[in-house]
Amino acid sequence: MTQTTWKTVGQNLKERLGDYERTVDVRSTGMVLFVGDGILHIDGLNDCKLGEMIELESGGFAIAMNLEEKLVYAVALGEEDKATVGMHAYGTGRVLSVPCGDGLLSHVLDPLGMPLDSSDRIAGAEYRPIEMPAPPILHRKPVSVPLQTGLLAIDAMVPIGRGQRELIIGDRQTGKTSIAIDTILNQKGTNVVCIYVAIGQKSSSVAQMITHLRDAGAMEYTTVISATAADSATMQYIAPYAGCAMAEWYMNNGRDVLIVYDDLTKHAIAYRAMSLLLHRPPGREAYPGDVFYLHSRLLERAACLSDDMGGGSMTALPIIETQAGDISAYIPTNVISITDGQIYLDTELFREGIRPAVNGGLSVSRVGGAAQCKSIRKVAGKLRLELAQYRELQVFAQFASDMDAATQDKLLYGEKLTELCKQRNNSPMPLAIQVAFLYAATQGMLPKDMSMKSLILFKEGFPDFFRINYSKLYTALNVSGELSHANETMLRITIENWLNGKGKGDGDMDFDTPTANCPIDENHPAAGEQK
Amino acid sequence: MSEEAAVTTLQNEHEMEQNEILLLRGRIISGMPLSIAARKRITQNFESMLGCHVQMSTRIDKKLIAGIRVEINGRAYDGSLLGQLTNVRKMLTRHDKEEL
Repeated sequence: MTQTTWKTVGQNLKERLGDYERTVDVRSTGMVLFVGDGILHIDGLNDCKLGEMIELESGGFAIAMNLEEKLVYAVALGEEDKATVGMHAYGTGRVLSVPCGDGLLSHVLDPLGMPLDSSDRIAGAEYRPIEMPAPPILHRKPVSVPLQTGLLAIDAMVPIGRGQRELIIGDRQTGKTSIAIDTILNQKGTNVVCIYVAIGQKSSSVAQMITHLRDAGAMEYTTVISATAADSATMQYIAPYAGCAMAEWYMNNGRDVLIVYDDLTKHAIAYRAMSLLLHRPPGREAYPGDVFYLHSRLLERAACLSDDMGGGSMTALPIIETQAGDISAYIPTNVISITDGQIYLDTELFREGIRPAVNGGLSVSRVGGAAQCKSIRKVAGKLRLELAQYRELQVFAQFASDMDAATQDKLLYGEKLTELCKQRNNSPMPLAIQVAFLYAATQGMLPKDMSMKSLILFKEGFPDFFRINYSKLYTALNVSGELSHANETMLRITIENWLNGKGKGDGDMDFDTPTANCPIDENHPAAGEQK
Repeated sequence: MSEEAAVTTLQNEHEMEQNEILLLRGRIISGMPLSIAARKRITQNFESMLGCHVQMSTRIDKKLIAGIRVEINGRAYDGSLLGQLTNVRKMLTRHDKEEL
């Protein structure tokens, strides 16, 4: 190295050590008496506080979970095998904090904020404690802005708003994670940051999901926090709180963030394992007594902040796995009572090929129409009721031989609605297409004798037709979220054009006037509104 | 925290306890063997700081390189060269003001 290089190195060192003071380091100290299953029993640490970070002589860290008269029970973080009996432990006076900021986007992290996808440590804009109080009541405002999932069945029947907590609940392999992933994919171009917290899942599943997000270009606005089944119960326990702390940074800076906890059932199981090892008294189903508080304090941090507080929001999509469809079990009922609604995925519907397998009867959004685009609200008002009536009639039709014409019409109508609500995996539907499909179905534009094959052709062919040939209307519906009288008229013409073109049977389309002549009135108030 | 500040803090903390605690046992860990005079001086300093009698044992830990670390009454007072170098390492490798 040249003299200049050494000089530069020296200057860099001076800058880094500019405020270094030679001091006597005074810390509370203790000794590790027991190590087992990730739990440390530490003697000493007289002034240790609950949740305090404890530094071990080996360089590892632990969190104080139980404070007793003579002992501190701590859970080890990360490398537990380095802790040994007789090792010294020192109090740090700090709680566990994680890095936050835009630098975390597109990365896969562990619950401590360490990158799993690169060797370089990520510098966050700041560090936030993983445990923070939820925003107070006066800092919040009602949920009013929709968060589009891109799934017709959900956006129409169980709409989600920014700042809402909507539970996704169902048996294994019913599409819970798929709904969450599709929602993340649909946030492209919407300035909504996404955080996906994987708790207790298979590493292969997480890897597959990350690859998929990367291929779809979603990792640019997404951070993945991973605490797989191979990680300790402690890491699985802190993972959702770490993700929440990172999401809060965006919310407090006036941005909208979507966080997915996949899944909280495994989170509760990890917490149960940890609590039993800490000798905390077991309650119902061997869960500790504060298992409700475990999830309530996490989910209450998701909010829609008032304009005075920056107007940011955190939308939470917790996932719960049920056993044999039992939503009245302990953990599911706990989380249902905390959240602002649930999306219940039915195994039977899934097996019948209705995917997403949303059970409209058991699914609810407590925010409801306030979190729905006006256009969707206008055309999908009775969708849930009509589908419920169809399901009832379907059971009846299995036993009845002769049915009146009205009943048959309802059955055919219900079949069409059900088919329209089906959607392929990883294919989020733009708002304009959702409005068009629902409008076509609910306004009776689909012929009664329309076969399922024709309906499927309509579903597959109409979106491109609409987007390419009526791009101005398509953009207007996507952007404004409203269905004005003029746009409604144009939409009707668009659908009729497509249906008539397909009606010719030879596949050739005979379109109406080109895009430039379409009278689109973006500022006209919607029909029924006061001028 | 400077040594003076630490002493002041300790004096405040132990003021109420000085009539109750008669003898505290601690340990001096040093990188090199300590002379009897040095050991005596350290013991007397801690007696004045804690306001009670102090009985110190000694241990040599070459990892400290130089300087001493005193562990007494649930606290560790680290003035060793190892401790200083650890602090320097943390300052050089830190990315933000706070980190794990």
